[in-house]
Amino acid sequence: MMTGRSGAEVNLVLNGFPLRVPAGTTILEAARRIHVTLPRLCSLPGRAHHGSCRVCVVEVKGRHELLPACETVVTEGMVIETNSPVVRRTRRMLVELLLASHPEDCNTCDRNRLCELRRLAHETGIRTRYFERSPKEGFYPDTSHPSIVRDPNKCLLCGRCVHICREVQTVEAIGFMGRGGQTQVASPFAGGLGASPCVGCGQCVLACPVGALHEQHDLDAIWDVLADPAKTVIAQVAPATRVSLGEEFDHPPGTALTGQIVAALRRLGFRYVFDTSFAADLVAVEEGHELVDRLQGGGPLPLISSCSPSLVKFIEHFYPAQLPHLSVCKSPQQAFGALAKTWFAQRRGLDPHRIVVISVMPCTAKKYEAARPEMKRNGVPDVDFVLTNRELARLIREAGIDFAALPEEPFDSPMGSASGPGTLFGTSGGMTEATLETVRALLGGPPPGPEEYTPLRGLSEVKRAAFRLGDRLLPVAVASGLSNARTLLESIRAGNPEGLAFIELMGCPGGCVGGGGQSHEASFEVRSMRSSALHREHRGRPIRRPADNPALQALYEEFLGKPGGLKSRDILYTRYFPRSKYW
Amino acid sequence: MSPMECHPLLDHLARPALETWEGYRAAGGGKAFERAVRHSTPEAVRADIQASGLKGRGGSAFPTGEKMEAVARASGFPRYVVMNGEEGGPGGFKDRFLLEGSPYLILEGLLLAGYASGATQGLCVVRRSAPEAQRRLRQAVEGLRAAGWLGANILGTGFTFEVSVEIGAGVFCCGEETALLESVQGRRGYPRPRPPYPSEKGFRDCPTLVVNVETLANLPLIIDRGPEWFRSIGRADDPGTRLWGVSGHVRKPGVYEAPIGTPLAEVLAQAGGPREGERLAAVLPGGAVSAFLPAEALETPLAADTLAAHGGCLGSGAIIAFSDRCCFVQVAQRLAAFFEQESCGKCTPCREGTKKLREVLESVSSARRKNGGEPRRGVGREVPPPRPGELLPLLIETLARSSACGLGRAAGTAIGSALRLFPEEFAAHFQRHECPKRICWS
Ligand SMILES: Cc1cc2nc3c(=O)[nH]c(=O)nc-3n(C[C@H](O)[C@H](O)[C@H](O)COP(=O)(O)O)c2cc1C
Ligand code: SF4
Ligand code: SF4
Ligand code: FES
Repeated sequence: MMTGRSGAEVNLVLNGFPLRVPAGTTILEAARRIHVTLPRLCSLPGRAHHGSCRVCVVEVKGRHELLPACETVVTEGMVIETNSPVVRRTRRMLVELLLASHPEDCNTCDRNRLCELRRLAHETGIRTRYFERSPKEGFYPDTSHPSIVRDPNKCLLCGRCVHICREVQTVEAIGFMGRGGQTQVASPFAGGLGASPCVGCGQCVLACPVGALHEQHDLDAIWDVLADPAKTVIAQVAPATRVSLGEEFDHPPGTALTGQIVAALRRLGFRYVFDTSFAADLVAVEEGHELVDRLQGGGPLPLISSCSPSLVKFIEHFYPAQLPHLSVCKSPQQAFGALAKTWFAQRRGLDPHRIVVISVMPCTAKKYEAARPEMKRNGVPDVDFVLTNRELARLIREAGIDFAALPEEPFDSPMGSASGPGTLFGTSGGMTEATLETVRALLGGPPPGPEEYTPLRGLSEVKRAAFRLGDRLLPVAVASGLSNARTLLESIRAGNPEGLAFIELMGCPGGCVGGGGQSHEASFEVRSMRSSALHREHRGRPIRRPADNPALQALYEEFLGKPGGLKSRDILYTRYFPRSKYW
Repeated sequence: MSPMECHPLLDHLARPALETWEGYRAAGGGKAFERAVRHSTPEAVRADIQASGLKGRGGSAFPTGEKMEAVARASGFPRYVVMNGEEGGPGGFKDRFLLEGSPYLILEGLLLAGYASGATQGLCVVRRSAPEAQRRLRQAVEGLRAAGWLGANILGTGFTFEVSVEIGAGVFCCGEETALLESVQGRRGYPRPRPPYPSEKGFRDCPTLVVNVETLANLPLIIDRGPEWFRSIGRADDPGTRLWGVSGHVRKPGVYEAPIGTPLAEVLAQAGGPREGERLAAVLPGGAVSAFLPAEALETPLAADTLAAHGGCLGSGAIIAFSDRCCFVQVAQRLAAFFEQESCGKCTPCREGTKKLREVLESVSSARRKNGGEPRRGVGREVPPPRPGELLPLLIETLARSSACGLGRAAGTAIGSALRLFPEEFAAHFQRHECPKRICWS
């Protein structure tokens, strides 16, 4: 948006205040300089998507039409009014129009607490309804996808989800269909999201201002199993959840509340509460061995991490020829579930059929992953249910638990301990650190220098670095968000000219800290705060290498044997399937 | 000479066998381009068109010569000329008439436009529901190619030009130039903000001249007979003739031609005047995007400024006549339904506002009377909602001032003018659900 010549400035008058701003500033940004926030709905800050909802219109002297502040760039001498009678009348009418075709089921809506339309109605001073409500006809909710539900009746057609799906994720599973009042957001050939290349990342859910998009809900089924005395219900908590669940309870982003989450889950009736980071350590060890094996000629390079289910589905749809690059190891969530129903069940003498594994994940795609048919042994799924952060918060509220007042409680053992790198799986680059630590142990080499991993940290788009491990130089790359993943996948398709040995790809921008199951705020700042909190946690952990985790060593001794061994292949390895680009 | 006797385009169209290359040549066609490309320069052609004062016939009435200058001066290559034959408004058929009547004339205009603005490729977008026009135009493209008037090095002059015929999206909103360009590129027909104008970034982001069919039809005449001839017709600020597509309650609906500035009444008289036993109550000159002229104002000259005084515009030259047997609440409702259906759905005011416009107008129809007089909305509310009579002007204002493109901005114009022209008729509906003319039962 900032396209002006650098340095050039323009003068304008906004609500009577003279103002000097850099050329290229939009009216919306200019207003913010005098601390006036204009309402907005369709525009996404920093992205080229705007101009359709019109709620941001302002009056510009000399122009009959009101201009949208989000896309209009100020020009020299502009005289702007943001609260003149005609602007207020129009703004109010526009919100009235949106309300008129919106279902009035706020009380039961997923976005009840945090709806941008309700806020807009409040902020535009709406006190009565101009129109009889006339709901959209012939629109049905799309529940065909295991992760995501779309209800076109609630949709405001702001297009934010379409933009994110197309531009940020480059999946294009949804687009506009029909015209006029029949316009709706739909999947290709209106075939339903479940039959589309939708990867379930849930970035559209984060983008949606209202409840038109949300995750598939599993809450009632979970209440049922929690109430069933014949079931042993086990929880696993993902690393990124513990630094963001607090946001649902008004803590600032990046507040680590691990102990409180464990305590809350116990109060909800979970028999055991474990740490997914333990399984992350396991995956780091297995993938580290796989990488060393491939370096010694045992498979195509670069090795691509397979932790992110949306990324896996993305490759299946758009880069099927690159599937052999994917690590054959399951993701930590699935590895955990598989172990809970084998190793842990054996240890405690439990019947795997009576164990229910419930994951708490900042992710919607994990719901899809848990439902994949190959993620089952003898008809028993590795993971039975997946809860997003938002759903866990609802569970906690429904149980009447005073989250803020909870004591901190530790995870259960044996799957409750993790190395420092194991906790970093929740943010972009962390998985690579953990895997490289395994490779370092195998190939030999001094411990990492304090700054050695800095190039892999932070939330920039594609990160590259090379590491000297043993006598080899390993070039690695890290990308998060599927458009960035695409950049690296294209490079592999072109024959890997950079000679990369390992690539970490995460479906969501920033990794799990930007996951589609997080609280709705997904700005760069919020994601960075969550990421920093994980790095703080990492620094505080005494175990520095995944393989040094004593619980993991016990697992290999008692059960798995050796990394990449027969048992691992049986329990921890998975398969992938080429899929079509269109469905 | 009565203004109705000046009709250069219809004169041309009256010549025989125009759909063949030989017939077109025999009618004097092709001279203008041949002379221009052999003996003149693009600059000189542009200068002639600037001097003629020709304004676009598609609705925006922007000086065509200026647009050509902008394309010729824009950086970027190749440059394109896109013929806008989408013509999706109610009462719009004069472009189809031209395309079917003299396809070579339009192509000659396209060649001239391409030559003048430095373009090498022309795209003719023809309305989806006009297969005959598409067929004749395609045939004419083949005829031109056979005659050596298309392709590389036309007539040995070094000028290269290719033409393709595209089928339009078939909806009114895709007649808007930016939406048209999106749709011919296979994308969703959403308009995009201007600037950048198509003359800078149009088809495939290259400089593009978007031009109406009738505008193109005028170019060969101007180059052939000279800008002075053209300026001698019509008004000083808007010279030339226009094709008027007259429809509605007249005896002889059809395409007529008269200089700009001709009184509306003369065009209506040419179309046979009102039908047996009827009187005209109001006329929409300029089509659905214009404003009603009442029966008392039929002497108004058909020109931009005189129509603007009534809140209207020349639009695309459609003239729709309404007899005294119309209920204008019902007419307004039909207009709203048209815009509701044709809205592209991008922006809130147009997508939702046209729907509400229709619903409010339907809710006051006398057919709804059995639901019990006064609408019960708002009963017992702390802040009462506005009544239909207050709501409609508010809606129309929102449409006019906050819509993203010309469709939404114009969607309430005609309805607003009907409200002003027939206050009693609307008030009877609003207050008593009563149609004074006993018409709008359904
Ligand atoms: C809703 C809408 C519909 C339009 N439909 C047409 C059309 O069918 N044909 C046309 O030539 N111009 C149409 N226009 C005008 C075009 O945007 C554009 O101004 C015109 O094609 C330019 O050609 P001209 O300069 O020769 O008039 C429409 C404009 C709007 C806002
Ligand atoms: S689903 Fe949500 S984000 Fe997508 S267009 Fe509708 S309101 Fe906007
Ligand atoms: S006014 Fe808005 S909705 Fe209507 S056609 Fe134009 S862009 Fe589409
Ligand atoms: S926020 Fe500006 S038009 Fe939607």
